[in-house]
Amino acid sequence: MPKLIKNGEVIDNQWSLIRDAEELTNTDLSSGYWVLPFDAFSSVKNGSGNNSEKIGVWLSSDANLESLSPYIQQLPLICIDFPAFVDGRGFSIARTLKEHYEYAGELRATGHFIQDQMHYLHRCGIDTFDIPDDWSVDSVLQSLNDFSISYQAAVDEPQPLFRRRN
Amino acid sequence: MYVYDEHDHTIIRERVKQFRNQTNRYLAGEIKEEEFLPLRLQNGLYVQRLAPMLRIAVPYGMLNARQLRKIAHITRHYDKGYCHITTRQNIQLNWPKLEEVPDILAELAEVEMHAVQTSGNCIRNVTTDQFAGVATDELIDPRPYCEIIRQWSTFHPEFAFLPRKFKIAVSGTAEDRAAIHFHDIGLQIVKQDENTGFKVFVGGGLGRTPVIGSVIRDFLPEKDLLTYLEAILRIYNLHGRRDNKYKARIKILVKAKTPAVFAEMVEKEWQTIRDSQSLLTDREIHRAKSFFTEPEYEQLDELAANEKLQKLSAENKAFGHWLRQNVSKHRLNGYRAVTLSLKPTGIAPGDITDSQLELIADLSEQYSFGEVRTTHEQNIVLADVPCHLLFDLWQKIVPAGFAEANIGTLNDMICCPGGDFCSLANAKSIPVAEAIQRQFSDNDYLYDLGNINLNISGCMNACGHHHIGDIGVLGVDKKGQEFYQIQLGGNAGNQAALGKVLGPAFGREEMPAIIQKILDVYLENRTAEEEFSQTYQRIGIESFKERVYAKAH
Repeated sequence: MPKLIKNGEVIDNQWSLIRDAEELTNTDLSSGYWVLPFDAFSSVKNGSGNNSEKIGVWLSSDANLESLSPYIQQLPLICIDFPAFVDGRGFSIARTLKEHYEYAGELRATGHFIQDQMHYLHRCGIDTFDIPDDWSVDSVLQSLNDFSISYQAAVDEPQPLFRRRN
Repeated sequence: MYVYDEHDHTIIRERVKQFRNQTNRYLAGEIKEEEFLPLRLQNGLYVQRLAPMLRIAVPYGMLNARQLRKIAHITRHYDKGYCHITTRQNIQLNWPKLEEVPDILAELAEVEMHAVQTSGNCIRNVTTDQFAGVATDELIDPRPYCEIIRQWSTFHPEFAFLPRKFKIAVSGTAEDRAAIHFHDIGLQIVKQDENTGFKVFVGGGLGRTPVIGSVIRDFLPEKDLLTYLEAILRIYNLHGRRDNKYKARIKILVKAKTPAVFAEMVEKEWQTIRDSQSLLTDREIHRAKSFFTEPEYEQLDELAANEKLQKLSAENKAFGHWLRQNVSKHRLNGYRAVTLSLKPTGIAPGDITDSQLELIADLSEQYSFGEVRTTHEQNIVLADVPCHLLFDLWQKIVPAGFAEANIGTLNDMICCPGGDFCSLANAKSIPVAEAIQRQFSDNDYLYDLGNINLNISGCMNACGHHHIGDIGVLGVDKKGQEFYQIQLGGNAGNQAALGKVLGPAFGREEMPAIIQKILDVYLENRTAEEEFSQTYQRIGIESFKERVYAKAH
């Protein structure tokens, strides 16, 4: 079972992520919490619409946020899925969702990121982290708090240090 | 120069702690090799041919005496007693132990230094003109802006996993000495009416696919600097290629989109963030500038000083040569900037020992307000030397080996560490540099040649900037054998140009004779006023080709 980290704690994960269309056809969306691929999400969203507060979406790193924009404000959960930890597009996607689209729901990192990226991811607006079961939570929490202060503005601190310096 | 406050100290100390933790986890097998790779690279740590290599950041080339002494101490205690000045004004250690790197970083932090983002696919050390603040052709000192960019780019959470590395250079002078046409972003400080701003070049670079940068904005007001950089970086981070590392630099994206379309994309992104809190304030610009004020200069008489120097030059020919070659004008009367040559024959260009570093620290305190600058030509500059102390200084540096009067000459070559050290290299570069220096040991001949940039890279990654030398040498590998290709006509400055390949490559032992032939063609064809680049432009590459490849043997 993967673990979910939020605000420095391990919490229960009630959401299930559906990888592809085939998985989707075998799933009953009318109950439970589901995270859908973006393509499937838009068709489900434009269809029946029941249980919609329990439908989230996951984005690949080449996601086009403009086509997501009509739905963004109602989404309870957006997952940014990292195909490989060196693919840094998710960092920009996270910040854009939170700062430009003013997304107020939960933003989650899934897929292949590494512990040592979590501090930066959090700064870019990631609220929760889907981490593998074999990661040490203590070690993860330490990495999350690698820095107590930062130069730049980001989602966690909209004022750059130069506006906060005495 | 910039002085850390409590915040800067905290950030760098926390970085040391973070990297110590990462190193321990790696050594304990808790971080996979491929996952540790970008973490160590973003702390300047490579695993090289013979040992790890640690690249220490020297922000825009500025160092003080205390830092020089610390580097000397580090080379002595953690390495083999020497280090290397790189073509990005940084310092490299060739033999540190991986497990001791956190200790080295802790020592550096004591003197406000670090190895942050000196490698990896992130924003690298920002560079500028080594004569910043003292150049006679300077519009505005670029260093405060460099420092603002340094802080913004340090641990930028969004841009630590870019498609590829990212280099920014700033120039504040009429004559570009920072190679702004050959950086991912080049910023030229300009004035419009009374307002300061930047002309923005993007997508320049060397490496496998050398490109001259394109202007995407003629005037960016200074306060918009960080938001605009952020817009460029975000467009690059989202749209730069990630499928092929050789096509991942921003230059490929700019070319694919065209500079005009790329500029529109940046503009659109920028409009959404230009009024954010990252907009610079007068207070911040003022704060940054307050660290780069004038030292306590004396009022000196330029005419008298110059007269004295001319007299000393007449009496002492060696001093005269040094004064002409290695000493540059200063914007203040009675002062000069002195370049200490790290290119004596037989020493790898840019290499310097622990005791030499300590001597330079002493000299900087005696003659130049305790500060020095590293240069991208791999030398060290004392920027504020009073004329009346030049002769004294010269007498001290002659025995130390820094007074080789070769700055700007063929023998002041730029040279990467090459196959002797670097695991990327296809060929050695240091022995080629040495063989050429030995061939052209007659200084009168070198002076007669005038200013010539000879740039040597051991592979197509082009750390030796071979594309932008008057003469560029590129090491290539042919079936396991080292060969050297020659390029002519490159220019790093205002007349930015990429060198053209002369023809098939040569073996290492042929190189001095081939360079001789190229110089012969120049000497036979030049007019009285022409430097190499001008003769080359006038007569073209064919004349050189004919001579070099003539079927005489």
